[in-house]
Amino acid sequence: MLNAGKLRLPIYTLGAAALLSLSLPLLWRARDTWLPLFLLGAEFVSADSSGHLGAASIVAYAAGLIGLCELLFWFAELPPEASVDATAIGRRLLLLALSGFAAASLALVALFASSVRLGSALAALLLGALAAATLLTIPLLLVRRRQRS
Amino acid sequence: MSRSPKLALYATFAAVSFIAALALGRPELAGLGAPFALVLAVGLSLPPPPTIEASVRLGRTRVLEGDEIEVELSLSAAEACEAQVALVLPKGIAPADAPLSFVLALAPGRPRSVTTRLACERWGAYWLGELLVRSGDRARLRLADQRIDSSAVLRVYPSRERLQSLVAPFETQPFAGNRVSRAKAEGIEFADIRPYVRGDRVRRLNWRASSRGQTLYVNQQHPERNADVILFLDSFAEAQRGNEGTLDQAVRAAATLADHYLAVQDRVGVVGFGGIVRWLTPASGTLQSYRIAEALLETEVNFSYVWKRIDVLPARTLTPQALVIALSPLLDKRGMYALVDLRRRGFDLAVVDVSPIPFADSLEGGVPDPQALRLWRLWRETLHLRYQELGVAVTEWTGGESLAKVVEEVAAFRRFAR
Repeated sequence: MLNAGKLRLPIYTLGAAALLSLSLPLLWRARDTWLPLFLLGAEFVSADSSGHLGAASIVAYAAGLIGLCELLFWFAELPPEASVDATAIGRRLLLLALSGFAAASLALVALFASSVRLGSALAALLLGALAAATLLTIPLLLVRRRQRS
Repeated sequence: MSRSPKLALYATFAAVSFIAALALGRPELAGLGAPFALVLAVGLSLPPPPTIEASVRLGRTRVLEGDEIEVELSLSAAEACEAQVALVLPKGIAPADAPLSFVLALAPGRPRSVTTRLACERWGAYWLGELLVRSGDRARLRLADQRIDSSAVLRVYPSRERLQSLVAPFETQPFAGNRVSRAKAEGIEFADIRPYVRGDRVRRLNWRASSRGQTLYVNQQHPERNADVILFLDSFAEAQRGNEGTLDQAVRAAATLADHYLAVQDRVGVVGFGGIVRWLTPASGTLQSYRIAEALLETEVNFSYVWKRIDVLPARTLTPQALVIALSPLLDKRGMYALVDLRRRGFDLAVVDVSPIPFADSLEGGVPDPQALRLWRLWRETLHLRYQELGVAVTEWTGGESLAKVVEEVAAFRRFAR
């Protein structure tokens, strides 16, 4: 464990740098959101290292992060001085809400899965394989349903 | 189809998060990266961006310079998607306080239409309707860019000026018209009297002169005839700055003069004398007005080293006794010599010098050397004097001045020269 007091300065520095880097894609309409995303990720790691973050904080951070990225990409994609259809805005907001909800749910599932303590290695292997298969099945099912319709 | 930058970023971030979670033994990081992996998995499993069908419809296809037109963009797609569409405008057409790009939500099988307004700033024939369309899948991970060319042609005719009077030709043609001919024949305007000869109509007898002279005299009149006017556009070279140039002004002047001469029943022809020689034989009427308008739209400066003389023109283009009004910036020697040649061949010639001097300063705002400018002005004045010595009316016209003033100046010179 690291001393929380010693980590406070790097956490604040990373947080400030992440917030500053957010202004780059906003000011220059750049599609490059790599810097803020990875700085915010590093900020998360630093904050988590200083002490255990609650599950609610992690879920909210994950949902917020993906929401932020979607918003930044949306902003960069929109042509300046373009006339935007209200339906398009509605669809985007719906997608954003769905992404946030899905992100929060998945983060919660991931945290729950990581908290499960299994006695035997075989059971852990089976559960892991099941989780991977489920993850791969979802897109396959979606594709098939799409093709049928 | 191209990949969105989002795809690479999300994939990298998810991978880094999972690896870091394993390496550091922190499941929270996996929780952070899992939503990004989910967006990728769901987004890539969805169908790729659909093809967008787009078309452009113009409110009007024939307009005058300075007019505004309404343009309707119609888009449709086989699947629901969001489409970004931008209308590409050629030089000379500008948006009229209306957007040129749109973000639209398309539903399957339900075309969407949006309208915008465009301002026609410069005359010419334009291919309008080039659209740049971008569509993406639901998660915007894959993007499809399309360039759609629509075949909408917009014709912007040069603006016209109102003229109070016109340069009257010295000679008229044998066809009926609105001009009083110098010849003597049957007409309305009194010309002279002459002794009666067998066959003269009794109603033409001048009784007052006959009683005074103790012999019969008859009246003679000037007949009403039309004239041939050739608008000679020198398109070897032009001075230009931004969207405006001497050729633009010359074409506007030609359109104005053509309309006014056609309105008084004259026959009007057009000669575009430049790198490419174009001509339109003289004719009168509304149809000729349309023909001239179309011909003027094709006028442009074509760079060429070929020395051209007026011999290249068909004989019927320059009809005998026609008034030739030349609109020239007097920049190219081929154009200048052609005008001298015309005069020496006996054509009634008037030259409107579309002055290139206002265009002398460069686009960067550089001021021309005053000494050089003065020498250029002197050279141009000498050139004017040489034309005047040949009996050619020459007037300098800067774009800011009214064409009516120039026409009056030419008419005044011709009255004096006569």
